[in-house]
Amino acid sequence: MVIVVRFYGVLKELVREKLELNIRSSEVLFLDLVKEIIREYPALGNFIKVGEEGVEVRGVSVLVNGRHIMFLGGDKALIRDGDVIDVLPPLHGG
Amino acid sequence: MIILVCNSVIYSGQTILRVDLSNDKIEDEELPDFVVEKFVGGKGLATYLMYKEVKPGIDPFSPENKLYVFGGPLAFIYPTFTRTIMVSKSPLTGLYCDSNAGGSFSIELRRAGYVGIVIEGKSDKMKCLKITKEEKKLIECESLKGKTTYEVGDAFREYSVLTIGPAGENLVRFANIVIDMKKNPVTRPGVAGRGGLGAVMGSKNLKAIFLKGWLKPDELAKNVDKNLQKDLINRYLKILQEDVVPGIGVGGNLPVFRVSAEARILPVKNFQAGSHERWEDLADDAWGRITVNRITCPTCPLRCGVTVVENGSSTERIEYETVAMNGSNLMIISRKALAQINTTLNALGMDTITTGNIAAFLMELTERGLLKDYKISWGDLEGYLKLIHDIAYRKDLGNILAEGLARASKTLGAEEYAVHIKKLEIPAYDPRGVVGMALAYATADRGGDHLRAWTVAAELTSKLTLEDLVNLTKYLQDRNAALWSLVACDNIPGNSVRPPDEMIRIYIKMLNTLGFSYDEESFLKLGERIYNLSRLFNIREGVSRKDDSLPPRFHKPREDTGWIITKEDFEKMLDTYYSKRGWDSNGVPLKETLDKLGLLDII
Ligand code: SF4
Repeated sequence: MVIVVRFYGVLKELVREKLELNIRSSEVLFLDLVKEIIREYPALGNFIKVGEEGVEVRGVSVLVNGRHIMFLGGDKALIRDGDVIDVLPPLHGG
Repeated sequence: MIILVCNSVIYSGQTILRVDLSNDKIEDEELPDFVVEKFVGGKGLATYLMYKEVKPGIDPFSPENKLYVFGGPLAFIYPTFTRTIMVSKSPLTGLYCDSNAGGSFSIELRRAGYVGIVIEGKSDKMKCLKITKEEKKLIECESLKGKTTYEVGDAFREYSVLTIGPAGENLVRFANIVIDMKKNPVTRPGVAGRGGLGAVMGSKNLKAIFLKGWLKPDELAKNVDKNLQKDLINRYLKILQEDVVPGIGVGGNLPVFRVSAEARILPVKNFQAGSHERWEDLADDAWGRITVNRITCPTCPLRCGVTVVENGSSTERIEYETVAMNGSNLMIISRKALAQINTTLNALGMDTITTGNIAAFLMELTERGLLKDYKISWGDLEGYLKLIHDIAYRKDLGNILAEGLARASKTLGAEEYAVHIKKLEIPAYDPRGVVGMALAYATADRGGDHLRAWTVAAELTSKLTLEDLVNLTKYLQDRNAALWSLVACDNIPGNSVRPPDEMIRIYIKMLNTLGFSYDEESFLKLGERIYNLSRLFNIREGVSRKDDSLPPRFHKPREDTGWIITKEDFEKMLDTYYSKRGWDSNGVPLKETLDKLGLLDII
């Protein structure tokens, strides 16, 4: 399946504006997706990473298909084929 | 009128000046300790008095409505407590409204021995209220009719002046009240922009209050331990220097423009998009380059009031909301134009947020071909400046627009494009992206407002669950209601680079040096008490869950990003919020909540 992740502000400079991720399974937990992305873009780890308490963020907010992830189960949100994820930048640009 | 009997006082000058314009009556009235203990000053006292005195269902323009102009107990004794808060039933929303402004007025008010002025009734002729040591009187001032706020400020340069412009006289429902607006001001002018309280003044035929206080700090701080006072002032100034000076950047809240643009929550084309490719032209750095002066309110070391000059156009105290609502939102990406717009709106006495919001609505209708006899395109500065005058003087379409966005959109049959909550036009943060602002707007006690709970910073600095967000919204609303009772300045905690917890602990200690006995918990409870009382005022006017809602636009995917607040997500937030507040599912405070807050014996 294909998932699109869009980055803004300082994050866009660290990764790029838009990633298209090909994932083998038909759905993936947000938490696992974050692990995947950080493996490819370690610099993002300054802003978002997976620690003992799940996804830890320094400032970024996440929307899935335009809805805030807090309404979709947070770390346990299920991400499916065709989903678009937006990662908003932190307040002070890191 | 309620008769207040008093035996002792908590702080010097817990007195109000009651001014009845119907019969030229001016009286001092001392507030009793039990009221002052529970409501302290500023928003607290004014909300209490308005709840008791303003009967439900009255027309905001009738003589029965009252305008409460309040300072707080800490002004002049401690630095930065400069804000003057105005409270009334809003002619724009028909509901509770408070709006506060910087400047020197509240300090002079305290120096005159008052914590507030209550203005009631209605005069046949245009009047001004003069307050000096020698006299307190209403004077006829027909000669000031039609004068701009700058002209009134200049006419009484040696006083602190609180005034309305032509828009207030013409009962524009979003007319503001300004303080110390004048040419080359020496102290920072202030603007109480929201909710049309200038039109309440206009409806009473009161053009201005000019005031010069006479008391010295020690006369106000009679019972204050001098060593403790000095120590608290020093500790506070140190926090301002270390935490707030770096945050305040070029002045005011202009740095917020960068935050909103990067997070794509900037209002663009009436909230149809969230970013503009030339946003950096309106960001803080760009304003910093054309800043020629920074002025401050008396007693405040922060100097947040910027004066900018671009190609011969200059303006005072330009702020983020003005820049975003009149700049990116209208596609006017020009600092010179924004300086002109800001000065024009301040001179005529109209709210910059509401006017920008209404103009964007008209530009969108023009683009969609929904207006018959009028056209105004995105970015049309000349057209906009003319429109501003037409609204202020209620000419042609301006007469319809002067009624505010909600009423005008109904008249024009275009309600789905109107972005307001409870008839208060939404300010400069698109909540699709920072969803906490949706809850903050919908549950603000004066309608769609961002100042009661500005969740943007927290949302863009930490990971929040739904419960966290609801707790934060309630906390900020309660905290700010308490702070506006002092009356503390929003720009200070708002610009702190660290959470302002220590600062607030110092505020509480300052309060206690006057004779109060608050701690952090009871201080928050003070705010919660006030917030529930303003809610009860609104409920008495017919507000319920149906009104705690979003404009249709925010429930649709945004054109540029697809971001949306679904109805389901919003209702979930609202349910969680009501339950956290101890309100029923219709948004009415439960009896036990009112009991806990000590409100049962008051209402
Ligand atoms: S921060 Fe600005 S508005 Fe607030 S008291 Fe100081 S100068 Fe006045």
